[in-house]
Amino acid sequence: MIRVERFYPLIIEAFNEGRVFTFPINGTSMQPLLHTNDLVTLERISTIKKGDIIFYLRANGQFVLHRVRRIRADGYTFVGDHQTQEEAGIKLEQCIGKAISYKSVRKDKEYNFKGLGYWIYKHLVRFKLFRLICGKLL
Amino acid sequence: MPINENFILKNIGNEYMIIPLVDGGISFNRVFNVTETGALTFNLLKENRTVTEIVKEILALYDVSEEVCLKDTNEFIEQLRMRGIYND
Repeated sequence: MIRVERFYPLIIEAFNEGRVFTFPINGTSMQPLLHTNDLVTLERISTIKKGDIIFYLRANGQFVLHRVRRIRADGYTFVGDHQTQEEAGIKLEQCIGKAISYKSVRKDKEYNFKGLGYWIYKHLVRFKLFRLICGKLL
Repeated sequence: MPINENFILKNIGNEYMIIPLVDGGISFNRVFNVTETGALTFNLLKENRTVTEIVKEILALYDVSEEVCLKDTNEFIEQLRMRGIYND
């Protein structure tokens, strides 16, 4: 598995060159949407809206790809689609890129976070109960 | 140019890697890690230099026999060819 720390400078370079950046993710926190080795494409952040999937850097140096749950004066609150525990107080400076599409390795298909199916999913995943059920089922 | 334009060479710290561009974006899932000599060879190929010229450049920088250098360079170019990075 490629460690994010290794390619982080490349993300910044790609954005500075006006390019998007695609990389394989690792982890279960964004299931059932994203699975380990799925390829996520990030673009430079212009705006952050509730429901966006953002790649950010924690204060402890860990890189995370989670969904914006709330926007507050003291920062953004994030949560994985497969998680119940929210993470508050993430500052804009910690946010690196916004996910604009992904390729599912299992289905060998590309998705762009548009369309009715995704819209419904994005709204359902706001509910803790839905995330809990997703966690149990998938 | 024999080097496929959909590949770029990047350097992070002391690492060199050849990375494919997909629709103009950097794709980090099929990275080819190369040595400093590999990076030099890639850049010289990009300038349309011949194998003989590349070997000469490498020999000027590294303490290696011409025979070994030629063999390594050809092997490296073959690797690039197999990965679709180089087409002649």
